[in-house]
Amino acid sequence: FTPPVAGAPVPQAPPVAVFKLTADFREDSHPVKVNLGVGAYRTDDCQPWVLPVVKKVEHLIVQDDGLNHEYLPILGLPEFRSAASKVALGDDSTAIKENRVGAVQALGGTGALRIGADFLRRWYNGVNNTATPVYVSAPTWENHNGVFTDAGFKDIRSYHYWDAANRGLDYAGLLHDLENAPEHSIFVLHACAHNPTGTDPTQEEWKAIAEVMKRRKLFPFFDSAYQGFASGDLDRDAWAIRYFVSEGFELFVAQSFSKNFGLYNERVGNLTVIARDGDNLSRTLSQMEKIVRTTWSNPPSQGARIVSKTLNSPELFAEWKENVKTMADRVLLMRDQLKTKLVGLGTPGTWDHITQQIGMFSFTGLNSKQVEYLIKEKHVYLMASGRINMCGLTSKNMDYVAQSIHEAVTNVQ
Amino acid sequence: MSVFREVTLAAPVAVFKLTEDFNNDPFPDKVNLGVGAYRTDESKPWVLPVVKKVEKIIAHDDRLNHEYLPILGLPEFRSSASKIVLGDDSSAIQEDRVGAVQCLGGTGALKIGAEFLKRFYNGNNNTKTPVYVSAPTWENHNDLFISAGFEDIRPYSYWDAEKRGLDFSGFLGNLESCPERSIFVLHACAHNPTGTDPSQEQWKQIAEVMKRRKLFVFFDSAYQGFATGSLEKDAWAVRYFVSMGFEMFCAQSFSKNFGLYNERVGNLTIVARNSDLLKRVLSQMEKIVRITWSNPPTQGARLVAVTLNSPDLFAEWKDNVRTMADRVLLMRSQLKAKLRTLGTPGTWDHITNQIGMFSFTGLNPKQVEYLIKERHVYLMASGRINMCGLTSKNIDYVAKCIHEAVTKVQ
Repeated sequence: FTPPVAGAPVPQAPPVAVFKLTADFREDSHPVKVNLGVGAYRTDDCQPWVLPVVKKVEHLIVQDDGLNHEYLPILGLPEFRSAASKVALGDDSTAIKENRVGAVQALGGTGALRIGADFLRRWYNGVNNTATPVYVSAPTWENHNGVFTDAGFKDIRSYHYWDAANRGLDYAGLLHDLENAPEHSIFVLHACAHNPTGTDPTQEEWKAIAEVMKRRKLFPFFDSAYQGFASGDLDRDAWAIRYFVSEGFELFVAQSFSKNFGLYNERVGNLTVIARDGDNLSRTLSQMEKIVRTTWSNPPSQGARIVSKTLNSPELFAEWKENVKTMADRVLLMRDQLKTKLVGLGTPGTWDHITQQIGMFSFTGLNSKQVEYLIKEKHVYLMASGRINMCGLTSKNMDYVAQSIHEAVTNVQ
Repeated sequence: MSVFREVTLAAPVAVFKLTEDFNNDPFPDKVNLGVGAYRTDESKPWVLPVVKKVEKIIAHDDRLNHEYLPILGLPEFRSSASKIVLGDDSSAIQEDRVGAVQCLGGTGALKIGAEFLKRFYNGNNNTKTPVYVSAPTWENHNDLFISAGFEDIRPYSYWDAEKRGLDFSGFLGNLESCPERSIFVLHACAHNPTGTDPSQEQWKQIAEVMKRRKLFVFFDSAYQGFATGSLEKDAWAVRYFVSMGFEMFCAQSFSKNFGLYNERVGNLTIVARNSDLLKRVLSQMEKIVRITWSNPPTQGARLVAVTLNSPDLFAEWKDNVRTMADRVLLMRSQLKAKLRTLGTPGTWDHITNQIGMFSFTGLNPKQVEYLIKERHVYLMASGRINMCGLTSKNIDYVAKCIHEAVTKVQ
């Protein structure tokens, strides 16, 4: 890498912001530091939580001498793929009964987005049409842009989403962008618990969004990373996806089981594919196989086995739903308490958005100066965008965080 | 009308199609000599005893959780994996100029390496840099580098079909005449599919030319320990190149030598000129990983790391590896002996000269077709057989079938 004649030096790449934040947090020696950055669940003791059902199933797996480590099929563990798609689309899904739903086991939500994006670039709206616009929400998960860009798309655009002034959905702006996007544009939609704003369209708003998208032939690519985690109810959190399917759309859903199974580091994801019929589906899956083959060949087994065993056993499934509800409920409690404390402190502004927003994250509305103050002066770590992870709040640090936010808002403009 | 209407049906991957056909074959004495995975003498997959032991240790360790790994992977896995290929006493490691990226098997390691080279090697986004792969090579190499964006994948002479050995002068010829700075994908040992490796003297000559002509070294190491039974012997070529001062990549797979095929355990080892360059390279690889799989899966990496980092488990693992390597050597020896006894035309020394899981039998496509269709012995169209598919129970049948194929079919 010593630059050869025709070469260029390799520049140092900046670190991924959310991981840099956690790295800074780790190095901070302040005794009451709080990490409201990276999106992983924490218990009220601020510890990572291995779901009890996961621990149970891991033991079942390790004791099962009938299992081995032979390569999975390229598209992944069949019983995982079907169970995962069923969780998103519902037990009674007609699309599944009509044999026009398929799936690719992928490396977390990222991997599912990646395979979907790679496929769309090669085969959607023409062959290798890299000019098809891809719309992501403003703001969105910081990795969406990079994934679609690296898949080869040249035209990533944002659609209106967050209304900072009203701290809510810029619904008119969103509809306007849908109406004016070139036909066949791809839209990355957050199935629920929008990251980073925590603000989702209502059911009525989703219906209107779907109407425009159908009329203008726009492609829905759902990113579903929080099913069950957002409201505590799997079916409620999948309502938007199921509505679109019932409206006859062909669409992708990139599912992640990182959060709702707490299996972050086993990379458990599923790209659910809904096509008009079985023939279109099988051709699509065959091309996705080719893409998988040159990316990771075939996917890792452990996480998929855990999820599959759980989803396919009535008892374990029930236990899992309980574990998910435990996490969702704690988040709701923290939302409730934070808002109550800020209102109690008389912190300027309205704080309804804390309890109206849904899922792991809250878009506080704090500006970058206030964020800097919080990190540097109060050792409360959050994203520059003002996004906080509700899971970072506990009964022990709640007062300190509320007090710190109060000071940030009153001292810093 | 479907938005997928223009999507064409892709051909299945040959080696998996072969296994599928095998699985659907009702013939009682069928034999699968296709896909490259170890089989016991009972023709069963083998979970290494040390792996089973460590899986239990991990399942019972309540200090472990499922938090995201760093983007580059589990640190203790990366360092011990690099150490395995470069050696405990590696001066490059001591000089802080060796780094690694935990990847999804050997495929993932090749992928990250290829994506990096496309972006930063020989210029920025120079997709025209030629990438040379051996003729023949693992069927996925070509597509992998193409999908990373390289436009010019070329073969280098490797297999001499007539003499059933290495076409060394052809190989050297390509090294001498290719454009400077071309990328060469080298098989560290147990070449797939031919099982034919350069000798140490030949490797030295290869290295000399590559250094002089500024060619980039990209090792694919999927069989370390599995080929000869000795980790050190199987890593000789890689270590030689490092000692010669090359900057290079080594894509390591732990699928075969740990039998962890489905947990996707791989490592991309990077040797750079100094630690500053290494740091910058790793930072760019982080960006590539982030938009591909974000961060890697834990289970397999934990298994390998715990094993490699414990003297007792490490010794046990080496034993398990020798078990596999020894069974393969036994099958090679017996197959050749039986073909000789049957008086099968031709020479069969290559069966025992070749090394690793595969043997390039030299059978032509007609003979292969005969074997599959008439005798229910499944092998790749190239004539490649997986020695692990042979057992004490089927070796007579297979030898006889090969004998018939060679004598009846031309």
